[in-house]
Order: sequence, then structure tokens, then C-alpha cells
Amino acid sequence: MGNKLKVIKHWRSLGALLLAGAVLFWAVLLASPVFAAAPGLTVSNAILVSNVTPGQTLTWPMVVSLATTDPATVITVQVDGMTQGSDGSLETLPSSQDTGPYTARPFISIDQNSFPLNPGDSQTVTATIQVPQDVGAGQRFAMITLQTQAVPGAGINTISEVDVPIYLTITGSQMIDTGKITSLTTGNITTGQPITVTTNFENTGNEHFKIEGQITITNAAGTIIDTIGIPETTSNVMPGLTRQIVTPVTAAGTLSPGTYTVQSQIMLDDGTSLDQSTTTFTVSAPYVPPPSVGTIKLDPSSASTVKNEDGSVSVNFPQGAAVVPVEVSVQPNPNQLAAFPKGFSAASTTFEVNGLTGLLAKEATVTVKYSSDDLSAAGGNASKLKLMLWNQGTSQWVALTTKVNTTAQTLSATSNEMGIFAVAVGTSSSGINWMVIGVIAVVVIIIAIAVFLLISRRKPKVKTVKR
Amino acid sequence: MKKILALVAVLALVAALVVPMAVSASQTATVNGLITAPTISMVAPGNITFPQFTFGVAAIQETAGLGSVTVVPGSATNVFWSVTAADVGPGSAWGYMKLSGTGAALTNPLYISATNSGWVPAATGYTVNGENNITNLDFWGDQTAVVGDAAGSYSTTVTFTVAITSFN
Repeated sequence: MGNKLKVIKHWRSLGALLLAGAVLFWAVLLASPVFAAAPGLTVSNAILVSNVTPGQTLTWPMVVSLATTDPATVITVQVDGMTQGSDGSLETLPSSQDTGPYTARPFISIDQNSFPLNPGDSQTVTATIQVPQDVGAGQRFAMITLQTQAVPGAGINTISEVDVPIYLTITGSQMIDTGKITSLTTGNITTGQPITVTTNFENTGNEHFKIEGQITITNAAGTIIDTIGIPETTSNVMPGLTRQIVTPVTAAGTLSPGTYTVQSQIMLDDGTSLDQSTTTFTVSAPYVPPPSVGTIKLDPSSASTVKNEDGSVSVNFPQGAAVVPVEVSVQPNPNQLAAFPKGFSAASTTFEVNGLTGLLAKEATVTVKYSSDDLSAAGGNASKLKLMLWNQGTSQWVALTTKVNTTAQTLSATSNEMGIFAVAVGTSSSGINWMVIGVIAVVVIIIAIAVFLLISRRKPKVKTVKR
Repeated sequence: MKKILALVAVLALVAALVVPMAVSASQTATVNGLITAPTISMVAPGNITFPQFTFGVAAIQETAGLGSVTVVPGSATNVFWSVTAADVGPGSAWGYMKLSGTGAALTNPLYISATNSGWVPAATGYTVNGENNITNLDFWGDQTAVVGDAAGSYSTTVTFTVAITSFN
């Protein structure tokens, strides 16, 4: 009996030790500075869009804070000009270069240019905007930048910066929406490749606006060969700046040698024409466009398959996949792909299946012939290739369960959602998530200890009853 | 008496809650069409530490941790943003890793990427556009040292800049 108690005490001590170890492991795990070297930054009131009147003073408080896991830092604050790249991306403009008529930078002052900030702390930075009496008409723009310090070390160190755009509209002033096409060019005419039409459009008005447009191609006889819409820009074009719009044109059929005219028309989103321009290109040998878009009328009463012209992409819809008749098309995806999640890298093939706005009632099968570029990206190992689907709702890529057929050189997957697809390479070397395994192991140990302690407490009582 | 005191306390509490809200509302009323502006948080991806360079061999390394962008939309429904990553200083020789102490730059420029493809010079940088929250802001670095580069510890700084581009 005494030995048994000693054994039980020994095991209890061991259990307590293991429990303490597990707690310590969790404490270390949770306290591990996984992102400690990566500075984070939070800024409230991170954009200001306001109507103002001449002579008005406006204050704009921004709360700057660090998470408890962020490293301590010094925040620097400054007011810069705002500009855009030719692709519409927002950029800051140093004060020395910010000399345009639409800057709001000279109106803005901030109450502090630099301050230390500790993990978990916050600090309010207030911008005071004093609009001059003679501010003029239209809109004014500026950018307030708030930046952390780098955590020094070998390798690539990172800094976090939040830019707060300032958009001011002068109330009661005349808003002018005008613009002009400053250049219109076509790229090389290469059989099998789309014809690239580049339109440069300058906003000559005094406020920012979005634009859309249309490209029309006619032959020497004046017959329209193709008409392609330019979709509305995702961001406004600022006054005084130029937006470059690149439109890939896929002619409906072969173009015989001759001279062709390209017309580009740019409009406001309400259809008001802003400008149009024409240029020509010459086809010296018969031009064969890339495979055209495949389109079918998907009917709920029957199964259907849509494929592109060269058959490299096909989508098989079972009977009843669609609830109502709908036109579905497969076409190349001309847009740049969003970043893939960790463990995946881009291969080459990408396409989109359009026409479906919701989920299918039954899953469709998507089959893609992987290209030599896809295979090359996977290091020659086709089993690493995955079909990815861009989920519009979550703005994330979803890796589909992909079947690889190395004989037919195809990838296939099923999905009840259509949209942008891409072939990617799974880059995980082992596929083992050691963190997850570690966590599972700790949970199992804790449960085992708990069960052991429970049993060891009950055993003496049972023996006492028997006696 | 106790009931009266309790009632007064409750009224005072309600007043304490309501008055600041009323003041806050009047302060933000001047902002046209946006009663509560969005809040944006960004965690830059972790730093990148390269193993020892081998002359002529590209060292490609992924960040230690993923970055994220988090949005509190305020009165907006969707908030669109862009994150730009580029080596814009501090110091000179932007886009090159510099030797600790002397500041001497490696011969070859540093290349960076968000996806382990589409590499760009660090001084040029790249832009990632997004909507609302993401937790997979990745970062890759590609550096090749060549014969003639001095031995030592090299570093540079990449700035991740987030800005709200539009909202609805």
C-alpha cells in the first residue's frame, strides 16, 4: 500500500511537472515574437474626403497606435503632396516637387512631427487644414504620412507607413470635367498575340473623375472589324495627371494585309464623351488572332461544356447546374493576378469563366491543359501544379482539389463557383505543418495528464470501499 | 433615499455616455458623405534574413512571417487599399544591400517580390491592391553576391506603405 502511494505520488509529481512544462511551452509559444521584428501600425481616420469653403479651418484627428506585439518605435509624421502613377497608384510627392495648382499641402499643418510610441500605446495626431480665402475652384489634394522606424538587423528590414489621403472639394466653385487623349499607340502586330492599344489620357479639368471608353478597329473600307470596351477605371484620374490605359484587342478573325484604323474614345462614367483619337497600324502578312472566346448558352435542362478554341480550357456543367438559362464564356484573364497564399507561387496559365453571378446548383468540372511554362515553373514536376480560384467574396485564392493527368497533361477540379482561375505551383516542401503538430501534441499531453490525475484520484476511493 | 441616489447615478451615467457622442457627432458632421472615416492597420511582413551568400548563386528567401492589412470600415461598406513595397532609403544606394559599418553596396541590386515571381528591383518596388482585410501579405527577397563583394554583414530597408485608395 505504501509503495503504491509512493508510486501514485511519484506519478502525480511527474504529472504536475508535465503540466507545468506544457503551460511553460504555451506561454513561450504565445509570447514568441513571431512578428516582433515586423512593425505594425494602425491609424484611424485614414482618409479625409470633405467639402470645404474658402477661409474655413478644419481639424482632422488621427489616432496612431501600436499593437502589444509591435516593437517600440518612433513615429514620424509629415505632410506631402499627392500624385498618381500612370497606372493610377497613389504616390506621395515631396514638397520640393509639389508645385502644382491642385495641392492642399500648404494648407495643412500637424501638431507633432515625431513621437515615441510603445507597444500597446496610442497617440493622437491632429492635422489643421486652413483653407485660404483665395483657394480657387475645384479640388485640392495632399497626403499625410505616418511612418515607423526600422528594427535594425542584418538582411532586409522593414518599415510600416500609413499614408492618409486628403481630398478637399471647394464648395460653390465650378467643377470642370475635361480631358484629352495625349497619345494613342499600338504594339507589335504578332500572329497569335492580342493587338495592344495604349491610350494615354490627361485630366485637364479641376477635379478627379473615373473614365471608361471604347476601342474601335476598322479596315481600309471603313468596315468595323472589332469594338472593345474600356472598363471604368478603378480609381479617379487626378487633375493635371495622365492615366495610361492598355487594352488588349483580339480581332474576331484573320486580318488580311493592309492598313487598319484604331479609334479610342474616352468618356465619363455617365457616358459624356471627353475625347477621341485615331491612329493606324499596318498588317504586312495575314494576322491570325489568338483563340477567341468560347461562349455557350447554359441551359438547366441539359449538360453543357464550354471550351476555348484551342481546347486548352474546358468547363463541363452537369444537367441542372444552372437554375436559369445563362450565357457562359471562357476567356483569357488579361489582369495581373493577386498574390497567392503562402505555399503557392504563380505558374503561367490563367483564364476566367464569366457570366455566372452566383453559385452553381451542381459543381462543374474545370479541365485545363497545363503549358510547358506551367511545368517549368513546377520544376518539371506536374504533381506540384494546382488549380486556384479567386474567391470574389473573400478576395482570396482558393486552392482547388486538383487531379493531375500527366498523360493528357491536364489539371482538373470541381467547383460550384466560377471566376478567375490560375495554375499555381504548390511550394510547400514537405506539406507538414510542424506548428500544428506541436500544438496537437501539447493538447494530447494535457488531456493525458488530466485523465491520469483524474484516475489517480479515484483509485484510493475505490479501494477503500472494497475493504 | 437609496432609490433616488441610484436613479441619479443611472441618469448621470446615461448623460456621461450621450454627451460625448453628441459632441463627437457635431465634430464629424463637417466631413462630407463620410461620417466615420475608416481605420486601417498594416503589419509589414517580417524581416528577411539571408543565409551566407555563395558567390554567383541567387539567395532567394521568404519573409519570416506574413503581413496583414486590417480595415475598420466606419461608415463605408468596402474599403479598397494599396500596399507598396520599395527600398526608398534611408541612406544612399537605394535598392542595394549595404555593408554594416562602411555602407559599401553589393554589386548586384536586391530584387523583391510579393509572390516569388514577377521580381522587381527593390528601388522600383511593387504594389499589391486589395479590399478590406487580408492576412497573407507575403514578401520575398532575391540577392546574388559576386566575387569582389566584401565579406561582412549586409542590410537594407524596405518600406511598406499602405493607403486607402477608395471606399463605397
